[in-house]
Amino acid sequence: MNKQKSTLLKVLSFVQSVLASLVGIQSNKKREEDFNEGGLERMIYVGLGTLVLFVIIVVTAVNSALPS
Amino acid sequence: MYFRTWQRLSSVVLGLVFAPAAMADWGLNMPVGITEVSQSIFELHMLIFWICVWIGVVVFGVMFYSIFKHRKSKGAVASKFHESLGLELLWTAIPTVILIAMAVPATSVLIQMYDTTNSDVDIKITGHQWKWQYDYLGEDVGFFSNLTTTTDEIYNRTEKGENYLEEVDNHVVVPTGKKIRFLITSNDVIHAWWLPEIAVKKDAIPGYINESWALIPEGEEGLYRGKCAELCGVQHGFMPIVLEAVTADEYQAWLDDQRAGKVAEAAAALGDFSYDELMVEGAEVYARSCAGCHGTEGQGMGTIFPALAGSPIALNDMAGHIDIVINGKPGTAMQSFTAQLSDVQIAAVITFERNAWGNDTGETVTPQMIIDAKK
Ligand code: HEC
Ligand SMILES: [Cu+2]
Repeated sequence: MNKQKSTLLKVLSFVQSVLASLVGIQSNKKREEDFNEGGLERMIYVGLGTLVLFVIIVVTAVNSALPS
Repeated sequence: MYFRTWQRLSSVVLGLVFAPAAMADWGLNMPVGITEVSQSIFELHMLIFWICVWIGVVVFGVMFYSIFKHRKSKGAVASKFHESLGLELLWTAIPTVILIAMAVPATSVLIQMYDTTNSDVDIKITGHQWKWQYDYLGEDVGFFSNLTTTTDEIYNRTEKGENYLEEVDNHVVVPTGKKIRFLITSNDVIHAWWLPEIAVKKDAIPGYINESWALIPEGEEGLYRGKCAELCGVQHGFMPIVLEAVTADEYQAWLDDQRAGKVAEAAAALGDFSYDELMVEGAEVYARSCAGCHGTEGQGMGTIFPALAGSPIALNDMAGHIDIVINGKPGTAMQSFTAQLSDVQIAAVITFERNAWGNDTGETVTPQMIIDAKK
């Protein structure tokens, strides 16, 4: 495993993993990587952030569809 | 016999394959209806239907083709691989796109259906076991709508009429070209007010008011029939809906008639009625409003609905008899008939019950006695 990954790359990789879990598709390699490199806490933060984003998107979509 | 069955079957199959319009004639499809909303719903339904048909054709086509093309007898060997990221993404993306594409027209129809604002006529609809009550809000007009199919028809003692179980004494009259808002609720259990031609089907729930609306275009005047669509007890099938769409002018005239009728009714109650008049009227009221539960011959029904023939209350206790018809008995199917029947009708039906089927009390209950009992 590449321990020299920059923080940005790491965050992006977390985001990718969370998005993948939303859709339900992930490559085996990436999944193992996530489990081995740990970072459970950060993964949860990214997950919560995505959840908030998702709710905002749904609320915005509904509001834009409803006639004012 | 066999020929007809075969003929029917083949037209069903042909209809399914060829013409959706033919299906509507056969009653296999939902009706297109007469309002803009009902037509939007029908079009949406057909759109979704064809999307599903094509998905089915493509998916099963690929499946059966693959099974056939790669059959074992041709020496096909299954490949063994675990994941295919690209393919998985593709088969997730395609349904997502299809679902969103379907959600767009579905949402716009739903928004149209739920827009009950700016109505011209407001009608409160209350479900009862087993009849509908209509109140025209702000018009001082309201009535109950009772099934008029006779118990003789129901029990096959006479020929069944044309509108068997679909005819009522008071139609719910509405004007065409006006937005009508329905406020739907219930007095006892859950019912549902369903009129397919205007695409309204709403649960009537005690303590809640559900709203719906319809705008029947001018030129579509006529009678439209519907039913209670929520199992609500033994006579669930006996509370039909008959909606009569008339022009706006005819509607105004009808409202005036209804109001005048109420005044005349109140005045009539103060007049004199002979025993014979009350018995004739009472027999009619009984057949329409009471026989469904108490039996055509006052014999009752099962263990819940008591017999009135030979019953102590009908033979002796006149005050109790009047009281139970005026006030009902809370917690039982015996409801108050004050809102449903005029004073004359209540007097007549009680007189009838005290003198029919061998209950020969010889007593006359006058409308004045009903007015006094209500005080
Ligand atoms: C929806 C069914 C239903 C209808 C319609 C109905 N009743 Fe009843 N009625 C009942 C039930 C149930 C009882 C018994 C109540 C109880 O448990 O004491 C009852 C009781 C009575 C009693 C008292 C009987 C006794 O022996 O205590 C009288 C009188 C009566 N009804 C008259 C009428 C009249 C008059 C009408 C029509 C205007 C009518 N009912 C319509 C269900 C009905
Ligand atoms: Cu019902």
